[in-house]
Amino acid sequence: MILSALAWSATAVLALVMFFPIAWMVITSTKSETDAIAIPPNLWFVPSLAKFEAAFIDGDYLRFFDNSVAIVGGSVLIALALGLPAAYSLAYFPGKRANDILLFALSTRFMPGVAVIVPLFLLYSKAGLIDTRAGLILIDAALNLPLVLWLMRRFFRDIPLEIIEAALIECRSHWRIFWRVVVPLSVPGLGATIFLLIILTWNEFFFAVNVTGQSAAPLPVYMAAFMTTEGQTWAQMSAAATLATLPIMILGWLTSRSLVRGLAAGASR
Amino acid sequence: MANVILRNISKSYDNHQALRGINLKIHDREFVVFVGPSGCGKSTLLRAIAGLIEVSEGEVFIDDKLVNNVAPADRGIAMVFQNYALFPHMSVFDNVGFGLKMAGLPRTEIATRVREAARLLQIENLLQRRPRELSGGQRQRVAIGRAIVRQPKVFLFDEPLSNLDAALRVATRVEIARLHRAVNATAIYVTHDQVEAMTLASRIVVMRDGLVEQVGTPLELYHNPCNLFVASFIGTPRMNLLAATVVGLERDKAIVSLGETERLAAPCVTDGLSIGDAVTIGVRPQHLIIGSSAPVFRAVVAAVERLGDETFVYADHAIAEQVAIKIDGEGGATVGETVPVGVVTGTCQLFTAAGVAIRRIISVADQERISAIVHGFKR
Repeated sequence: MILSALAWSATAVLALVMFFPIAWMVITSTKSETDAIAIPPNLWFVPSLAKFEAAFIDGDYLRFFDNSVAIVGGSVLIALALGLPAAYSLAYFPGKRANDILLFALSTRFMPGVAVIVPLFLLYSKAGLIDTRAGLILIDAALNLPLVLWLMRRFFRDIPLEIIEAALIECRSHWRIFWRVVVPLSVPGLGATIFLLIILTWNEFFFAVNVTGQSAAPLPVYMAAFMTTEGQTWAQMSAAATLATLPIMILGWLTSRSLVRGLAAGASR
Repeated sequence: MANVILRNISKSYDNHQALRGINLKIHDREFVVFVGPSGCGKSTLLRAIAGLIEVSEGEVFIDDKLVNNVAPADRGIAMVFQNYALFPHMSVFDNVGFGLKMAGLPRTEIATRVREAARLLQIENLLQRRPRELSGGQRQRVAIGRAIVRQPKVFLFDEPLSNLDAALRVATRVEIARLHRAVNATAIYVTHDQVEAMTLASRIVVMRDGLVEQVGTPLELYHNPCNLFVASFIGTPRMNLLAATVVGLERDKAIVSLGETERLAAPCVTDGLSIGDAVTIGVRPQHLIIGSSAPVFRAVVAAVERLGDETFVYADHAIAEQVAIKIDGEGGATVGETVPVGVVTGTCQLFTAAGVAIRRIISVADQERISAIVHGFKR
């Protein structure tokens, strides 16, 4: 019982530490700029939604939101379209070079963005992909693909091999086996993978700020715009950040059970 | 229905040769059982026939057609797995009809075939359930149903009874035998249980270390094992194996010694035997007689198992080997008692030092006498 109480206490402290920045951001977004930069912090203030209104309307929030949704949606779909069949093949028909392929795919995630941004920018300039949704979608899809390969291969391998063998005896089409047997049995893991990709892509800033401009910039770039030459308007920026993170927080809250189940399913086998 | 021919089948992995030059012909409608200890290659061979693994060398023919490069779904086979391999997200109906649906059959025909299979296997009331709602025996019936509906040329069974409890195993074994007669198809069955092999098979293939040790009917393997491995693998309890030395050779008979004074005459072909050769004597438990008036050796009873209609006595031989003796009924001995043990004449099998069986010679009169003694003797 004491151990249980200690575990709960530790969990509560950890949750507080992790949630505090979010909570502080939301509180700050309801303050005036003066209250926002006051030291010590001003805990007694009149909350206001004026900064949200300014961020939403003056900051043209919806345009950046649309871009983020399109870029996240496009890149996740492409990564899944390419990665799922590859993960299926690597899971059940690996071949001798499977580990090399996986390691190579993962190694692309080790690559720092600053090392490739210059040649990438030049390439995109020539190809007319600067400040386009398609340009950023391609980059994010390439970043997401290794994660799809690694995670989904793991979740596919959790399906007993005999089930796949039974399917191979009943059906000659790998495509049908994939859609009718493998994917339905991998839904929890697939959900967890998709959610992880959405989070990572939604928050991706480096490539977004370098290859997009007025037309295709997503929400992380929108938030950076609040760092002006006149200094940072903390309250305004907090409101913008709250608006930018709100969709992901709502999505995470709605899917938290499935997410945990999906991740736990992979861990327990 | 179809035959299956395996020609020089070999399969090797990185550091391991799983199959070594297997040659086998399985006739149309035959029920052949691959039996052997774990790791002998029987499941590998079954999967090679199914096309689930690629052979390193050799050819597989099903219905006289070479199928090495043919997908499993196109080989005309159906398979029942040890762990049932049912699709957990589908109902029993959808599981059984999955292959038919993938083949593009009309819904009405799928429904007809599924219901017919369900009737045959007595699972009509389970069609709308999911596999997780079924017992092990029910799941196995569903798995068999999924195989039957495809009307395959060859049925493959990969240790289908291993996950069932003892009573259910016996019942399902009988069911499989009944189904085989009903569908009258070629069947290849893999098991490590020699009782399943003996009761189901029209022919048994005994395997060890990727090789075929012997192929024959159950009784051929039982009465005439070709080597020590087959002799000790087939039969429950296993054949008693006693170390001996050839001390005399007569026409059609070898005299062997088990110790200082214990002698035994074994009718066999004596070509190739010499006095002084080390041999092994194999004697089935039911061919040893406790309290014989002409004992071959004496042994100390270590354990007695009374099963009601038969009794097994385990006794330690003076040369420190334990022998198993089967007695009909409730006869037997007391633990710790020293008992004289005789051997029914003409029943022992000799093996060379290399473990190869020496051909026995049994006259018709001896066969009848042996049968009368074994079935009529009671202590």
